[in-house]
Amino acid sequence: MREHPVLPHYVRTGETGARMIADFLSTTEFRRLGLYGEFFGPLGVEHQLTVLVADRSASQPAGISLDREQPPFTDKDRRLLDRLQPHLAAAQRNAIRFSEALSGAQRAAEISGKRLAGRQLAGRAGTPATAIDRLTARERDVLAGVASGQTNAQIARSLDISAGTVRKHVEHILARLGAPSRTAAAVCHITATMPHQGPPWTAVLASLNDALTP
Amino acid sequence: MGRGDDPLEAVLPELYALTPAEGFPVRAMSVTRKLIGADKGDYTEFDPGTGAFRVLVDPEPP
Repeated sequence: MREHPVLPHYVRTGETGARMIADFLSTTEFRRLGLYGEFFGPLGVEHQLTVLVADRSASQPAGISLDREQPPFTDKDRRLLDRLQPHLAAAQRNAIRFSEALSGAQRAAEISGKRLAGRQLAGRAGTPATAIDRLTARERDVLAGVASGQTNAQIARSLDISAGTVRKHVEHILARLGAPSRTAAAVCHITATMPHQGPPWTAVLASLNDALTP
Repeated sequence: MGRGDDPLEAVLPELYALTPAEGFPVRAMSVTRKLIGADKGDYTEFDPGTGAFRVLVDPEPP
């Protein structure tokens, strides 16, 4: 891939904008590449327009390339792709955060399952265990605020405590739930508090969609 | 051009519809190709540390 005329440019410069192979090479130079003989040529690729979804500083750097035999891409195509780029980056971040939230909720569910199994083996009566049971009453209040989309300052005002105290509570909540983020903790809260109100994942997905979409 | 005529705005709901990370390449490629016609498309993930690339040609749903 080092021979690819566009991708190394992104890695080297950190730019993200739409670029064409024609920005870097003439048609003759492009066709002289080994990459053209082995890859582009057999696939009928004469023109390529590329944009970076996420640059080298992102957790998952990636790019999208569009290929054509004819006609060449135009500056109008380039401008459109440049306008799309920030949305691609934001949507990718949302997808990564959503996956983190799902895996956090899954871990919390596994913890709950193990605790419930332990209680059943010990022959104890009681309510079904959930990850939320690990929290104090005050931490559950804070988590409810997080799940409703409030900032630390807003939660602090509603509970009449300091924002620093809320931040400490949030740290404890994430640690106790094994959640990697506030969003993941919010998923835990929603799944634990809405077990009998229809398909829970419908509510979870709707809530996350609202929270993540700019 | 009025707001309703902007092709970019028309595809944004699909782009921002919630999807896990593993489904993002398919979603992103679908949206991009709706905006700009092409014979095919590639989604390339790369590791700046090692220089390694992974190219998904016309990615399919996972």
